[in-house]
Amino acid sequence: MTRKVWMGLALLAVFSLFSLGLQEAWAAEETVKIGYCAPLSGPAAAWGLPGLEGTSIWVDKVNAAGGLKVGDKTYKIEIVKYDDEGDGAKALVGVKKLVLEDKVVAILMLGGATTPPTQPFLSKEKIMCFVLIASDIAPDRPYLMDVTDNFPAYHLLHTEYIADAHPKAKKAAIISQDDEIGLAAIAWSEAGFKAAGIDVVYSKAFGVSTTDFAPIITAVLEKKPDIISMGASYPEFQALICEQAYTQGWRGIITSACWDFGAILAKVPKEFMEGAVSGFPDFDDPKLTKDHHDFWAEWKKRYPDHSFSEIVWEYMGALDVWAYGAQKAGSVKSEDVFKALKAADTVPHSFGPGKWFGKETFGNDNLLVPTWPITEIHGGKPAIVAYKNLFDWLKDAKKKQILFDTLKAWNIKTYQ
Amino acid sequence: MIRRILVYIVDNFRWIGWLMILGAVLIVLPYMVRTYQVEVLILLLIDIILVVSFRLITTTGGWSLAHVPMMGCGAYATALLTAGLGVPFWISLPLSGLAAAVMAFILSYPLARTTGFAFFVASFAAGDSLRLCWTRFKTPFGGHKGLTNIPVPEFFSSVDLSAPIPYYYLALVITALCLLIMFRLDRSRIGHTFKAISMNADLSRSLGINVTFYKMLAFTIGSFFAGVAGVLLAHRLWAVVPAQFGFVTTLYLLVWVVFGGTRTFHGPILGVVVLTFLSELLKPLFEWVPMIFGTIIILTLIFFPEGLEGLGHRFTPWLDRQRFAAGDEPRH
Amino acid sequence: MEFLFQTILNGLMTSSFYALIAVGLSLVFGVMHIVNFAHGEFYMLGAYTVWILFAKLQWPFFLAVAAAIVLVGLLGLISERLIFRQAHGQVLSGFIMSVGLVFILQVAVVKIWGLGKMKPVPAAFPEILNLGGVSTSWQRFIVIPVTILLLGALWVFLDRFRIGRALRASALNPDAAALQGISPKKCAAVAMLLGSAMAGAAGALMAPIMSVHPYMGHSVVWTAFVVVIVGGPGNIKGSIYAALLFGFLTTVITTWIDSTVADLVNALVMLFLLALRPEGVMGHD
Repeated sequence: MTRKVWMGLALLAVFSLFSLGLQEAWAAEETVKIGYCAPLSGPAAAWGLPGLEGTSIWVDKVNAAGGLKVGDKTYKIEIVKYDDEGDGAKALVGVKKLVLEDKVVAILMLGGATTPPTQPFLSKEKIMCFVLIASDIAPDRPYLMDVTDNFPAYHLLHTEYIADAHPKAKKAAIISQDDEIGLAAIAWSEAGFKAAGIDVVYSKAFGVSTTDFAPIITAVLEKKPDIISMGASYPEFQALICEQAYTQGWRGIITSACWDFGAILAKVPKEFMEGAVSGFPDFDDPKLTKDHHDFWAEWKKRYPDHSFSEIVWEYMGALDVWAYGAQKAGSVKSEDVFKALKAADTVPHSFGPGKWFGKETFGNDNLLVPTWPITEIHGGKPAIVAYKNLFDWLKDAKKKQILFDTLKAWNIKTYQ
Repeated sequence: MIRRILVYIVDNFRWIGWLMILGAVLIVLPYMVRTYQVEVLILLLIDIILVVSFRLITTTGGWSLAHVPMMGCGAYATALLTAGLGVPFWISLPLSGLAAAVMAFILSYPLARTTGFAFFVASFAAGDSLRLCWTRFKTPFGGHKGLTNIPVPEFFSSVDLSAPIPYYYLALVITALCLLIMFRLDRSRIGHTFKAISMNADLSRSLGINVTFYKMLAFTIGSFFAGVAGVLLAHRLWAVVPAQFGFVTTLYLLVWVVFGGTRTFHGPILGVVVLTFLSELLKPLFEWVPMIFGTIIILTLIFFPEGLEGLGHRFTPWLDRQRFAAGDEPRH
Repeated sequence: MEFLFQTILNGLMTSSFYALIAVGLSLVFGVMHIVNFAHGEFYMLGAYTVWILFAKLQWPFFLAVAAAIVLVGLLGLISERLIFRQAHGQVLSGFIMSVGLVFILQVAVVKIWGLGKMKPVPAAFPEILNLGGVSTSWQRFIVIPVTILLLGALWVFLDRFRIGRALRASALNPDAAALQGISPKKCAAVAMLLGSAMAGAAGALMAPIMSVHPYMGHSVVWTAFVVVIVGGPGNIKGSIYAALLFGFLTTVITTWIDSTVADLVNALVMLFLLALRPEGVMGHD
């Protein structure tokens, strides 16, 4: 009996395999291909899979309009996906396949653990690589750039905003997970608070497998902070941190690189989160442009049950920048697009015109920095309350020195 | 002397003939496939060392969950030696294997005192503590982002070992060497002692075999080869991160080994080769892959409970029947 | 002083989480020697059931928990029939097949309910419980009595009921038990039904205080195995001691240093406990 059930299941699996295979088989005619090498399965997939939603909306829009006009040619765009499972070895296989077999002209990647094994090859082939983590930028990785997410630099702006808006807040605690992203968030936030004249009374990383935040919050509250920064804590940690801070009786200002708002508001009252500071607006924010609102509507239509996060649009944001570069260069060749982008004085970023930054901190001017929005939570929804610019922040030499000293103290390499 | 060798070759021709054909295939293989597939082959060779050395430990009856972290040990050792201290690859290769072996020897003190599931869980704890050390102690291990700038091995100035095909041959030679040593060990007195322990530890003890010693020995030798696999991995990726040696990799290792079967030397190799081929085939299905993989594992183990190596045994009676029908005597 | 009391309360909560997660496994694995690695995924499905029924469809909380218990219990029964029974008593094959089941369930959940943000599950009892200066939420506190209740029920079941004793007999010596008319197949089915139901209960109760996502089972399944093995398989009292030991170690070291060091110390303590007392902290019964 059971064997028959299994046989049936096996047949079903083979059948679905075939139908899926057929779906992938079609190819377009006059196309330029862009690689998408990110975690698409397994526990890290939350960092790659949602991005495909944004890029597919972008590609469909461009192709429906007839294609992208570059020079005197018009190209259809095709995204070639590869699942690197967040693993360096798989990513190396992936980028080689994408570049050598599929002949992609640029690759969208998450960054982090997959960068060191893939960059020697990609630099040699002069293939542009767009990542979401600015700290991957390095002098020996000329073609790696971050043109969307300004993490961790925007922590300086959030902290400055908090100091301006809440002059009475004098003590801050910072917690985030113990990995490259979390540690960078802690270091940059600490620099930001110190530069704004706020004492950092607690700054420590927690293990990535933490599920119980009661002891951590108890240790944090012992220092009586007015502000708790969650750094760049992942969605699975945010609600638990807020819940503990709330139940252990703390009230104050919360800040974080991004929000998992649905989960947080399920655990704590709206009033507790009122005024919390971050830098990622929802794309239906009235202060944003029509392009953002159109994208939001289209995304809502296609994925009504999914939750919005910056991952949804950030890979797509890189496509915008790439297309701008290609049109400027009049060519889709990786090196030409790269040169055109780097030669431009300002490049349009999703949040407005951006300038290249990074020489002193990352060793290469490959981070695109626009004027970044600051959001506050009001009535359970993020709303843009201010815009701040990193270049303005860096004009103050004293602040700049605090930044470099703090990064050094956290063992983060700089190129000053 | 020459006559003896000739007689040996003739007697074992089928065996040696197949091996030579296999060798020839492996030598021309990188020229038959796409460049990116050579990378897959390199990783496959590394995984073969890993599964065979894992089987070496299982012959004493213990299923170690510390094996992937032991590979990490070799990778971290070579990263610290070559990138940190400037030791050449060829010296670092045995030294890093040795580093993994030494770490395994220390850990085997508590581990050899456990059996069955307690060993399973204790070896997990041992491996996990290594991984936690790499993330926690930023100096010298670099924390979560690991160690980078691991140099390309040097081998006369004319051979560029950063290119995939030369590195494939390097990995092939080292893998062949490791397998040869482990094969000899498996057939030696020590190998038989290992198996005796797994069959009946108390009986072995009563025969005067020092069970604890042999368990520690198997764990240490197995980990040495895992360390060598780690060295090959580190010098291919030019970087090591703790996430590479996480629990998901361990799960895959267990799946490969059980899928192939552990009774024979070739079982685990069969398992890893077939499953790697399969996952390359399934790659375009992205997020569906683990589900299909899981279904295949379950189906295989239901229909072939001994793993792929059991296929041969199922096949033999059928062959015998054919021979019988043809009027031949059954052969074994 | 408040700090100290809060830490003790935190430690108690953590210990009760550990015990609650382990209680189902101690029946399935500790008594019946079925290595169900999908135990964590059953826990995850229990949490998802509460998310759908309680958070989305507004059922009463305990009704949603009851539904999770029934659904996940049935899933355990089916997987016993389709998977573990097919292993024919080979523990390792059963384990690897359950790893296959882990992959299948995770992908199914990702495909059906998506990935990315956490599934929002509000607290059913959001009121703050204040105990002389130290505080926790009722939602968390409720875990302690429920855990005690489940552990007690399991103990009574195994010790006082005929079928519970039959389970233990069958695990100890299947052939001899079979001669006495105890079917090993039926015993395994009962154990999987009850054990999985308890995993579902754990997930359902923890859903409001944990982050609900497709991989949430990953981090708890090891905790469960550790508690069961260090406590001594099948030894309920031992499991309680193990849960208390690791719960308090984690809490104190996390407060004092950080959670990575806490994990490290836990792993080393576990290693040496297993080396010194391979039969569990309690030794032989």
